[in-house]
Amino acid sequence: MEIEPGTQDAVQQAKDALMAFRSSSRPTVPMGAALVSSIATGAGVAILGQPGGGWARLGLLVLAAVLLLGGATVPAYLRSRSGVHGYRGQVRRDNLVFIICAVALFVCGLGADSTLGAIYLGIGVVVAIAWFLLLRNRFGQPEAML
Amino acid sequence: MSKPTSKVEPAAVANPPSPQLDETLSAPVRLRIAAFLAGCDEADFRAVQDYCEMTASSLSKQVTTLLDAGHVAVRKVASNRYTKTRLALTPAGRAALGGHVAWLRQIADQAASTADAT
Repeated sequence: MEIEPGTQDAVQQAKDALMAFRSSSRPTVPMGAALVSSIATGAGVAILGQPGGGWARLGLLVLAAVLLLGGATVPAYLRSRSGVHGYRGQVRRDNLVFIICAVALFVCGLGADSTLGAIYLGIGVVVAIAWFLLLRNRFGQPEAML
Repeated sequence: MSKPTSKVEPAAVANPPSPQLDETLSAPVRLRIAAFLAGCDEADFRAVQDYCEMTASSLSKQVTTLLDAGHVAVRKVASNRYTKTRLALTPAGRAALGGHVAWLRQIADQAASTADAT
């Protein structure tokens, strides 16, 4: 038995489906967790480009990697704890882009001098703000369902 | 639990969805469940229940319908002392959802263009 919805019903059902998809694909991260995550990510990027030598430099790189991983893990952990696992579609592609950017920043940061250190400090601030806005869904939500 | 059989050909899964009514997804609640599952690899039964604001028994009934249609797969996962039920949209279910949503949008677009013409 085929039940064809009216126009209003069709519009409403399509809207509901998109909302449901968005709720699971990229739920809005609570303010506190978004702040912690964005500060960790921004600090990670800023520390990554700081110059130094020997063990101190190695320590900074490890600290930067830990902060970056921690910042990225917070939203994934919260999503997983709410019972939603794995990414699909646009969000999965976005995550891949973030990973590529992080690797590029890490590799460029390996040869950092004082000039690059200042640049990384600026990039860190921009990353923190952008990451916070992304987690709070201020850049919009996924449009394409599949 | 046996693995659901696909009712959609693999070629249809690979191609972009063409507008097509799916009888199973014509119920708004089942459409919402499928759309929720489309955003992730799999979701806990409880997470779907919370989102859809349904009782466990009524969600279970809807999931059984989706399972029979081959749109959803169910998996039991051990979690501490409990066993969690996880739901996932199958490739066939994903294709059916894409086609059904495209069909809904087509109806809305047709109505909008008719309204513009008059």
